[in-house]
Amino acid sequence: MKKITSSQFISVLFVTRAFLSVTYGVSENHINVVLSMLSIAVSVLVEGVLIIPPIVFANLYPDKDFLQLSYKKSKGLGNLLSVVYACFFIYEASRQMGIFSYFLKTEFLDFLPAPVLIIALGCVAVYGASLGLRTLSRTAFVGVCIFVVMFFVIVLGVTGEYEFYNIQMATPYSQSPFRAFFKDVFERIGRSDELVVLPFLLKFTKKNSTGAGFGYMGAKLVVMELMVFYSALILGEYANTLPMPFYTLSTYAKTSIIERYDSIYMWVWTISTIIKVGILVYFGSVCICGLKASLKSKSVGISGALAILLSTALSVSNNYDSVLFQAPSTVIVIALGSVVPFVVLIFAKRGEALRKE
Amino acid sequence: MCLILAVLSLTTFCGCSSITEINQRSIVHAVGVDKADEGFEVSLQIFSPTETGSDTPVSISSANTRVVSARGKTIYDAVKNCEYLLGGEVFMGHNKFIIFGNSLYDEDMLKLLDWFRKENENYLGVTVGYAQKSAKEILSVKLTDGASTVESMEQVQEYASMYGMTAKGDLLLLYNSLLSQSGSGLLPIFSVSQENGNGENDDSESLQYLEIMGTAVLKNKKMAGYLESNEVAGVLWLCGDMQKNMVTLENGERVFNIELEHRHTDFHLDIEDGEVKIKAKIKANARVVDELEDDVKSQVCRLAQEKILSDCAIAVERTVDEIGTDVLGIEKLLKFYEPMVFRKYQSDFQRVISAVSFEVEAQVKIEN
Repeated sequence: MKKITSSQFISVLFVTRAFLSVTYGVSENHINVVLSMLSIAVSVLVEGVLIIPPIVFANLYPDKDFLQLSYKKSKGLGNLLSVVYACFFIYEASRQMGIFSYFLKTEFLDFLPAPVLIIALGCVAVYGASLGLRTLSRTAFVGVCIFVVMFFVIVLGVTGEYEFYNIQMATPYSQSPFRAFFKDVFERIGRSDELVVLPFLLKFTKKNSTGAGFGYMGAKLVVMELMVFYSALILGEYANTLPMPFYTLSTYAKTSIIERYDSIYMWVWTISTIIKVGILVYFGSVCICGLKASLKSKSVGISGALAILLSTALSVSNNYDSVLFQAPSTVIVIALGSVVPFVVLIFAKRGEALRKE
Repeated sequence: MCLILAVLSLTTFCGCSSITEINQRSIVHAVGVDKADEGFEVSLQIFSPTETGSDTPVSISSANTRVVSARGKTIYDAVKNCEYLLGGEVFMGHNKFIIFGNSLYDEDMLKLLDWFRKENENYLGVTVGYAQKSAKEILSVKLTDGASTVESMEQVQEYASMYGMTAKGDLLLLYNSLLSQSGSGLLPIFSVSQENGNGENDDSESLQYLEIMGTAVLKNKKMAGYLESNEVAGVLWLCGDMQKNMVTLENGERVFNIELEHRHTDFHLDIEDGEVKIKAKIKANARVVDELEDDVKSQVCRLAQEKILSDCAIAVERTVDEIGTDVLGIEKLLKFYEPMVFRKYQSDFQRVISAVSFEVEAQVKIEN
């Protein structure tokens, strides 16, 4: 099995989550920017704890994932977990395509029907998934490099407009700030669907799973904090009224050569979405293979087709409040990303201990 | 297989949607909005190349623009009617100015800007201003040098805001300021001036040009008064937004022309006996053209400091005491330094504005 490097591992997860963070507002739960930044730090800290079981698992069983071990324990359990994870990956892939088509329709191409966008994006992502994880991870690394360049160009493009007094704790204000804060932390963890991808990805990573996992968490923390900080610093109170403040920031930035960076933003987001959907389709196919090994050659196609069909069907309404666009529940993310691998690990260790006895 | 799919997609999918070619678009340079009997009259200054008989469709001796006006119940409606007159879509991505006529002085600015804010093509850095008379007049003015009014407005606005004669009027800055409790804001007021070439009332000889005749102060999102240039300078010094300021100082014997360059302003906010006290320490450099002796230098520094302090004092008197608005950023400082106090008095912020006192210090250094 050809493995990916730690930097590629971080890139894949970064593209799967951190860049897509730009779609979220500064103060989603009526908390001010300082609390919002604190909420990011706390949520990343909690996520750092949540990734410990998969990392321990990867260190103990470097060439296996927990699905393979669950099949060893019981075929029924293995099948059940394969179905659950396949559903999750396919649903997430369809949701990402839906969000992407919604963004393009509302901000750029209002004349294009959503299904056309979804099918076009889905086909490219499925093609990427069919080329394998190494191709996707190399593309993700390129995507991250482009994103970093874009980020600095946008931030530096608005030099002179910074207002440090915008980093204030007075508004927006919730009547119950503690509740709002913890709700925000909880929701942020729910949006981190890469926590479910991580246990699968660790198996394909060359040595040092611990460094790769925590390296990703560090990168995520820095990037998300910077995004919220700069959005609030430059856009001020206006950022609180926007669904996508970082996108608005890109439209405001200009240099002596280029005015408005929204087209570059769209380009980077398109690459990221393709990689993310490709990764989700790929791991969806891994789960389908677990269910039926004979489907190995067709599993990427099946996984991708299901995601495209689901996304197309749900996007007809183009309603941002519809179920299609809702982030998965935090409980589901924690259960699939941390609890299940942990439980399987305990059973595996117990089995080994019993065998030794 | 993939190659076939790619070629098929490229040759067939690109025809699936309608697109607007560049020649079917009208590129908007400036938007003027006036009040009409039932709704609004929107004037769009658009790029319109003038044939000159040469190879290029763009004439180098004329402005290459024209103004189209239409009425509608809403601004959006009026823009759509302009599109109907133009026979194509308008493109707002190059829009540089939004001018509101004097008939809209009493209208809620936040509501007027609503469409511009939501329109994705519109640039957040677009300059917003008022017209002394109608916005249509500003856009339609025929400049004798062949420049478009937008170019002229841009130069005038840039110069005036750089030298502290008016506020920046940037849409994002204005929007943030309108979102404040007092719905405050500062906007430049554009007017058309006419000068007769030979001193007689002959239209063919008269020169027209655009100028900024003052700065409007907004309170509760509506125009509440005007500021003179020294009052604007005071506001900009106190907000820390001043870039450069040309001043003429006199010591009884000599007159000095000085360019003050803003270095930095330190703010501090204290609450003493229920009174909000804002302390501002302004630091500036002074550039003098003539050679000065050391004792004159210190005299010039003192005069420049006094000038800054007097500008700040009249700015506070005019904006806070007379108009009662928050263009000096009281809310911004209170939110930052005393968030709990802000939240306590948020619903009655006017009381806070009336209870504010300023303590200003100025420090000027002569640059050689």
